[in-house]
Amino acid sequence: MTRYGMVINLKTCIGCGACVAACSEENSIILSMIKREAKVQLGTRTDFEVVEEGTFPNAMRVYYHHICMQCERPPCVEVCPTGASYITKDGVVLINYNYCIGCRYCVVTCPYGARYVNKWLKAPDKCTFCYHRVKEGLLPACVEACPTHSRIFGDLDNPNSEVSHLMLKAVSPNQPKGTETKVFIIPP
Amino acid sequence: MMENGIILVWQHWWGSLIAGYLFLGGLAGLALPIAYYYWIKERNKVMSAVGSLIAFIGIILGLFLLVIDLKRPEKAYLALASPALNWKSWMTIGTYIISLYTIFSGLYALPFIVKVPSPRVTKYPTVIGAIATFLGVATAVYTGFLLGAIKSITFWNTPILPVLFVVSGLSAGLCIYCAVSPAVLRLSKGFEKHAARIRLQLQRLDAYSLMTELFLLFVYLDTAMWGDTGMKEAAKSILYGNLAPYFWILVVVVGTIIPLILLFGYTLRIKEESKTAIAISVIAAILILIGSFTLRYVILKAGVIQISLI
Amino acid sequence: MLEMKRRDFLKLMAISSAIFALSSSELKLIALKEKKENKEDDRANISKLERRYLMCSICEGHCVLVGSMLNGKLAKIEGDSRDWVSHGRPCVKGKTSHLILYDPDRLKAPLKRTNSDRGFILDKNGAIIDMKDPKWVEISWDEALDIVASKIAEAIKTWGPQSVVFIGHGRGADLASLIGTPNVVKHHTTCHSTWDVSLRPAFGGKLPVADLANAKLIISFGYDQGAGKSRNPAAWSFAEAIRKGTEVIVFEPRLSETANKATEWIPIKPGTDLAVTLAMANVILNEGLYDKNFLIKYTNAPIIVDQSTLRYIKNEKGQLLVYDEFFREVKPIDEAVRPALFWRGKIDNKNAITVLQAIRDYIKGYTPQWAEKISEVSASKIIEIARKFAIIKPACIGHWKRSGGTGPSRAQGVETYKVLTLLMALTGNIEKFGGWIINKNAKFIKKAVSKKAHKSFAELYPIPKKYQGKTVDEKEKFPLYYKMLKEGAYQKVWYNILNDKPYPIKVLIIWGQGLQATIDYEIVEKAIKHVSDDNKGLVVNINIYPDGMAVLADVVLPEKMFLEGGPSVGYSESFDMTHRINWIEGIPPIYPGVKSMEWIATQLAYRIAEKLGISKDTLEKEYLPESMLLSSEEKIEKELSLYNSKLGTSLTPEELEKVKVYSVKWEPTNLTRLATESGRIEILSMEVLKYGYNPLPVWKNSFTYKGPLAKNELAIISSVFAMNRHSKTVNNPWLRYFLKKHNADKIWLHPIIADRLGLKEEDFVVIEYSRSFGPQPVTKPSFNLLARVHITEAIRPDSILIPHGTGQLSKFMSSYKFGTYGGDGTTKPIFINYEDPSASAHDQDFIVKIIKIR
Repeated sequence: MTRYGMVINLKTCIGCGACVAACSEENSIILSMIKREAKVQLGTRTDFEVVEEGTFPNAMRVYYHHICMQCERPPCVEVCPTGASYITKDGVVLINYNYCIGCRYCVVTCPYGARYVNKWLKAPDKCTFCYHRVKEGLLPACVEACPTHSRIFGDLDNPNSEVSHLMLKAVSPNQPKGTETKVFIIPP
Repeated sequence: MMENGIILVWQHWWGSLIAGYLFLGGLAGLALPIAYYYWIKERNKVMSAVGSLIAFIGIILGLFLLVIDLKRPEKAYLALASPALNWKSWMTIGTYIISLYTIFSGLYALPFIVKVPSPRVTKYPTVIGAIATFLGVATAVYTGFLLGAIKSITFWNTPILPVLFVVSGLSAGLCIYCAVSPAVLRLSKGFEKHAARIRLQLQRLDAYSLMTELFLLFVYLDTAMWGDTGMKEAAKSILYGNLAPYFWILVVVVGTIIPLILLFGYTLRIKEESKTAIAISVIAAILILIGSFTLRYVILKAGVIQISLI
Repeated sequence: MLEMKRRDFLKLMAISSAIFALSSSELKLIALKEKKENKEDDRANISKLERRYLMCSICEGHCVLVGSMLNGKLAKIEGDSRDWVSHGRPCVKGKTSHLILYDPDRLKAPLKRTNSDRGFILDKNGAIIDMKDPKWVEISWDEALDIVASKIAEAIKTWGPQSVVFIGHGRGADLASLIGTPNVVKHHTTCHSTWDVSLRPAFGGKLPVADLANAKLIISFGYDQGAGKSRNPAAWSFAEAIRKGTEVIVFEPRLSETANKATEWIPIKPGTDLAVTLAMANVILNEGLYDKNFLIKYTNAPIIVDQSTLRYIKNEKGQLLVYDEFFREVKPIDEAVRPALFWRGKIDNKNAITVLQAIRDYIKGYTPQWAEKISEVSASKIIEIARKFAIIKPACIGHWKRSGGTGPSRAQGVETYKVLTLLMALTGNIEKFGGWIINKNAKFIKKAVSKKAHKSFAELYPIPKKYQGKTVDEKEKFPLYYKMLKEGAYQKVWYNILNDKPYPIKVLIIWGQGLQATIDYEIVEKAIKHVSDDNKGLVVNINIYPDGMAVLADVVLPEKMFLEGGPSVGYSESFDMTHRINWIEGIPPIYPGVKSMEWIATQLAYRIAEKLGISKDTLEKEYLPESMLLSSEEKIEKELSLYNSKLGTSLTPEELEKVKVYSVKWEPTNLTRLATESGRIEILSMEVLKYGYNPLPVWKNSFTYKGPLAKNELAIISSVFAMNRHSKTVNNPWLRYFLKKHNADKIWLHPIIADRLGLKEEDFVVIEYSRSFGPQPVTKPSFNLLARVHITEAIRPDSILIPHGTGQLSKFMSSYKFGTYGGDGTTKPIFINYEDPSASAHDQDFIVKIIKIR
């Protein structure tokens, strides 16, 4: 079975925003195919926050990434009344816009704040792991764009993939416990 | 907002429309059971008519608010009829409960309004009323569970919330009764003599439920203050943050203290029915309704998602 | 299951219709949609979009960009993995450059100012807060070119060709060559002049590249290219090093991105890196930790020099001499068995000494204890790092032009580069993987298409005798710099133009140059006023944006953006040891009014010639340079043949058009015969000596940061952030979004200073740049800029970070007042140090005062 996952390596992330820009570029094209003027605004599906920690001379900056954790047991899917939010066989949480009524229950429920309301679609929107690209054998746009190779994507069930190796060094932001994220973070 | 490596995102997707929906749900949900009580106990048609109408109109209004709050109101039918309907979702369950409740409250109201004065009819309201009562309580409870099921917002994710919402719904349902029923009873032939008694009954219960609500509210906020960052931030914002004016003025003072003073200080002491008593009941009712609505609004707005990424 | 659902649904219909009115057509619709579940899976195929090969020109990396066209619009930019410069991952600036392409702020037609009153608007603190409206009117290209050409022709006729000045990155050099003016000014002295002046002589005109990816230890003295400035290839190799667990030690007064990722951040006192490097060399030499074999074999360390002149002592055959430890006598270098590194003696009654002996004697006093007092880095730490650096191999000192303590931004730049070369040579880390690898092509390749005019107008209208050999940028006063770089010293130009030194200037053609790239704005403003008003001349700005410089100019000509135009051939080298050729398809200009610089220069050439009475035929036959004559196909062919020779390929234009991208790697080779006098790496450069400069590394103190600082005085540090490059990229709204996250729109202060001055986050302050260091104060003793404050622990308490080029004073741009209200690190009072061989701008070698606004 394929189980897609991502590792974000904060050891090498320089907080440049290439991933965020790539996401917006790529998915705006996709959304514009659903609805002509629809866009993915910058910093909605994925984003990062710059956080300064520590005191001089031991200060450091950490870049907290903001992305859908593609939970194995996604609360957003659990609460969706119409079944518009669903999880694919390979573990990607997606939204079927045909069923969505726009109640925003999923947006409120996501413990990672990964969903937002897209004003053009008039519905929640979220990271899809660039499912349209992955299905074609391409990497998600943010992964392909990262100039320092800090976002790594692959099959978690494949023991030889880079992600399953890096996963061992990474932590899962499992909060609240039990959502079983498929995005892992290597702390700086 | 950022604190101790935890990102706090204030819930901004649900606003006054949903607050109104929750408020009306609670109010309408508990209005009918009271009416049913008077039906069972004393076969009081007027009270039943008033109660079921309050419930019916309230729930329709609530549903209307819910639908216009949707980003895609044109697809609202999918909430009941989606091919992939998710029965695990509280919203699905709730939508069905409310839809059924709407129907049953309408059905319950029907004989009292259309006037089918047949002795055979007595069985019909008893059966339908029992179902409607069950659905009404479920509706009120559901408004609490809708928020309570949201794990990301720990402030909501507590068992006190549904209880609080039920009690608050009860006080709102009762107060609206107090405002409407004496007048209606006085106008209805054969029921004039009950007016004062029923008003006093209702208002006493209302006063107690208000006090219970206030007590629950402080227990709720106090536990939140001892909770995790998200709960603490939420409670802080209610007690002395940006929501404090709404909370202290509208919920506590306007919605609880003043009505309590009015009830205990005046209306509960007047055993006879008078125009002033009705007028003050109406004023108290309006204040309680404002407080009850604002309570929902404040709790909704205080919802904060706490995200700790590492 | 679906069946079931549908039945449920139908059952529920009766109920729900009471609440939601549903028509039968909608019912059918639902039934249809049930069949089409999971619509996401079969969304439109993005890889079928039309792709266009482009090249980024934001930095010198020149990554290949691949644009995807959606409805005839460039909607997305990616990389190509065959481009080993970017590894198929262009940085965020290049990736989002389509936002500059479609920026509605861009210039669309030539503009002429109608308001003769120009300049800045100051607030009550004397800080620049705005600019006067130029009241532009749109004019036709014909009119614009005519205005410029007639002014140039008039200037040539009446004053001589020298009265025309070109300022910019060498754009319009062909026109300058045709006119015959010596005044082509580039920005080297604020950018990489120290690099060229100290490294090129040591490596025989070549530049070494730091191979970060393979190093086991990386030391950085303010080097922030890998992570912080995100020069894309360096970002990749730096990340590669971090992934391997390479130890990284960073000396930097603020927490740069490299320091943030480093194993150790040492917050050194600004401008004292030289002291630490000298002390490190001292430790390595004293403890004998140097690589003896490498020094003897590849450097001039054992060669004997005259102790007083430091010149090589040669025998009668002209051979260089060493002291042979085996025969215990002085021998020609090629005949020696075991040359001594340290020796002192007499040859022909002259005090003779080996190069390394001379260096060791010279830096004897630069002990770690001495360095500790200056740099505030503890002596034990310096010794520890020196030993680590000598033992761990391969080790690498990161360096790239304008890096902290090594660039022209500080007085010690040249000296620091000398010591870095010495350190790398002492430890034998040169021309090895993970060390410094000499780029065989150097940085500046010969132009395939000559921009030199066959004959210039100066032959008809010569430069007056008294002005000959003199330039407005005084480059003739820096012979070594002039030899290495040819083009002018930037920072003095404005002051000289203002004061008619050495001659009055009539026409000023400025390519780009946002105000942020210049010095003291008020001097720039006065110089432009002087040319235009007092000298009755003309100031032309060729630009893509109506930025601050355009607002000051008389005529603004819209240039195309780098993604527009084509097809052409692109080339990149010296990055990550890659040579690459690529085919640029380009995008047709978005606005029909914009023209390429080549077109503008050629048009001007014809018009000027006409006004000077030179016929079109004569001009084409006798004057015009190749670059103006050749067709684009011919240019492609010529360029490709040159690049082919670099890569060792034989691609034809047709083949390149098909493959689009072709990269080759270059590797370390053996170090025989460099183009230095000794043919070896010269840790004591004879070239530097020849021009009369001291080749030994000398400790130089900062010009301004000597004693203790006053209460509100702070030392400047400037930095470019990873998501910004210059004043043009700041107008990209996406980059501004990221810059804001990094607080790059504010100046950075330590909480101690903020406390002392009573400042809170986002407060406004005036940065006061004293003019007491320049030639003469122009009007006031200082010039002031406004800025907002970010309070952070990530900086030394005695320093202030002024992010480069984030501010914009032109209200015609959306980045208007975004950053530090036009202020940045290169904004400095006019200053020139004639003793510095690199003509360095010393733009970070300043103390500024911070004044809280009430």
